[in-house]
Amino acid sequence: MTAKILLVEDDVELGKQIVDTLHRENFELLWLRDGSAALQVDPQVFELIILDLMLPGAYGLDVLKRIRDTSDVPVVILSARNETTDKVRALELGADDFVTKPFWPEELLARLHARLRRPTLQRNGRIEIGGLQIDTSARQVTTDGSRVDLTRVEFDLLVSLSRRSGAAVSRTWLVDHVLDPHREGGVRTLDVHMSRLRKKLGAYGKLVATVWGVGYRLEPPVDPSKTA
Amino acid sequence: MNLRLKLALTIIAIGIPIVFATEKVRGEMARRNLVDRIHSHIVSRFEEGSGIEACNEDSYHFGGVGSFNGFFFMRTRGARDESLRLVGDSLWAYDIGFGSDNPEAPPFPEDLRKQLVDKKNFASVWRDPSKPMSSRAYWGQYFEAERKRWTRYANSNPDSRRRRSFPTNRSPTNRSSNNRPPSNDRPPSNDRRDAPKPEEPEDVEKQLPFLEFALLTSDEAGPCAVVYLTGWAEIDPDSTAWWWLSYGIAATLLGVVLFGAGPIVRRIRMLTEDVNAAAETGYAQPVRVRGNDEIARLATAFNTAGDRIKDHIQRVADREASLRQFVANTTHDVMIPLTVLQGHLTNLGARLSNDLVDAKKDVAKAAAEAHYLGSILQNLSAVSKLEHSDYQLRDDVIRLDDLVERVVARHEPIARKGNIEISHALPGEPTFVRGDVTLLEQAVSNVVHNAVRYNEDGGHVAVLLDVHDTNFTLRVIDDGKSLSTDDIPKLPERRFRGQSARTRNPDGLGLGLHIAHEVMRKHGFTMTLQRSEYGGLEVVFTGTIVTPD
Repeated sequence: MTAKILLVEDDVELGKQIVDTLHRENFELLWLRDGSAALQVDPQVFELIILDLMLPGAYGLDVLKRIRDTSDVPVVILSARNETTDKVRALELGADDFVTKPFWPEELLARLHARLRRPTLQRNGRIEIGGLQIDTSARQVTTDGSRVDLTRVEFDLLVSLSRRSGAAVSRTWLVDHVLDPHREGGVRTLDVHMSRLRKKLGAYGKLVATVWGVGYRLEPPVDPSKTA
Repeated sequence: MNLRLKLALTIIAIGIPIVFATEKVRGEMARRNLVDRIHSHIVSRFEEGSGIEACNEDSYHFGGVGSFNGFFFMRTRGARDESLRLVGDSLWAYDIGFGSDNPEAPPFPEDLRKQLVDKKNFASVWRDPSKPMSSRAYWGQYFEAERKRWTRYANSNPDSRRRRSFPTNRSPTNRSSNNRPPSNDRPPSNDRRDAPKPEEPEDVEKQLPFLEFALLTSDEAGPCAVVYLTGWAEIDPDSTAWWWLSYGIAATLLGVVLFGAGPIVRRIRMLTEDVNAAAETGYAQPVRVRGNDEIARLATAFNTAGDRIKDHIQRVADREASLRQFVANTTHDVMIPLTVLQGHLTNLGARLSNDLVDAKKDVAKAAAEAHYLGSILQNLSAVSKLEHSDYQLRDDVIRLDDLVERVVARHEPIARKGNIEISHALPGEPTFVRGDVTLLEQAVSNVVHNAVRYNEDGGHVAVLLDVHDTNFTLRVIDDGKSLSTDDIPKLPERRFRGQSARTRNPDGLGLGLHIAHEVMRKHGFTMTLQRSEYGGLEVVFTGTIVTPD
């Protein structure tokens, strides 16, 4: 990932850590320590902005306001003041997310990735997860080009998982939204359907992961850059 | 019991004994007055009239039943006082040794003799009329029987009504009296020996006190040195009227007091209302001072006390605001270095070779403590809001699914360091609720942190948000060590630490779950705890979702 990120943080030590963390994730970064300097930059050249609220030169929310005047770039607010007023005001001014200090580097990265996450590739009703292709219009599934015969319920379960690829979907939600409550029954029936689906998907069946205490998740395609 | 009723009861409680005491004193004074007048009367008849002469003249026959009243008709000097008459009177003469020439004279009463011996010129004793008759009252009984017989005779002979008294037995007066009834009318016998046996007294002795009186005369050496008389005294003919008068005065007094208490009670009520109103406004509104009496001074005293309370409240509020500000500033100041510390720990853990298992564990433990410190600071901030009386809970529309994602992202790093898998599931559509995003996030965070912190290597935590109709259900489930069933309901209690929780982690404080419970309660949401199907704890939040405008 080579997104260009603007970091506006006045604390030297914290700023260095964030910079190091983001560099390790291969982000391209510009770090500003002054609010007034942040007011001068063009926000449109960045894919995401990390903005501290307590800044010298200009208040963070004023910087946010200026950014929103010209750009819809995702803005993640950093705040040491765990005050509702700040959060609500920031969201009203167009902030996309906020991370309250103290935070872990991983937590910040997760929030950034969530904001930078590209939607699952969908074209003309087709969902592609690596070699797994789902045609929602034709209600057909292929793995590495080979057609897989799925029942109605199996197909709907796979589509439901694939539309939130990478995120867990609860058994309750799947039972309520996919199974016919008058015919298919409950959680046990769902598990049977999932088991059959995995078998039919062959090697791609491993993509359908069981999530402890929750339900199921369709694992996202492996990022080639991570495996490199 | 209100003030007016208390006042009435007090007046009644005090008034009744006073009325009775007054009546008793009045009766005693009337008796003394009667005795004094009888004394004067006998002295005048004996000493100044012809009493002593008559006695000395025929001491053998002197005295007898009716003799006392007979003195009023003796030809002796002095005014006649009709009120001195005694019912069933008798009069006897004794020498200085208390012996009488008259054989019919009763024995001289011992108590009267003792009084005379004690150097008194005269003595008197009031006998209780309700008690059985003493021997000394014998003559009284006898005479009463005679009186009744005479009354019957007088009623049957209208001419006799002119008489002021009926005949007496062997008194000097009687012997010279013209009051004897006609012989053909069969008058009652004047001879005591012919008289019927004295009847049991009926009403007289039950209504009138019985007086026995003795007097030392100037005839010290003669047979008439001591005069002794007995009879029932009508000392208080207007008793009933006076009785009613007493009660009338008492009742009037009661009425006046109660009527007079009305305005006072009314003002006290107004003062009470004013004081309550002042208390409701934190003593910002003063108590109205009306007039310049004791109640007005009481109102002024309330205002003085109210001012002091107001000052105290203000000082407490200032101190609380100062403390809150201090907590906020300190929290802010600590958060940045704590974030840096967490970053260093993360980097340190990443740099350690996988061979250094113990070192990695130590770093993970240090990270867990740093995470816990951050949580404590956030909870301090939450408590300062929850316990601040004037804190207005925010009522913003917030995305509960985003909140859950933030909470999971917050605890995921520390869970991963402890080899605990944390997962979550959301409904797929934005879920909105109304509330204070900071407090709600802290509440959910506390529960998730609790599930992570009190879990073990290889453990799991699941956070599930579901929506049904207009309600949400947020469940936090873990498979940590089981808690005592008795302990689970107590977990939200402040500072509660179950025994099993203590063994799982001795530094565990109940503050986090208590805050979560309070936050949910303030939002109108519910928080329930139960043993999870995986053996750990399951905390369930439920509430109503909203549709944003």
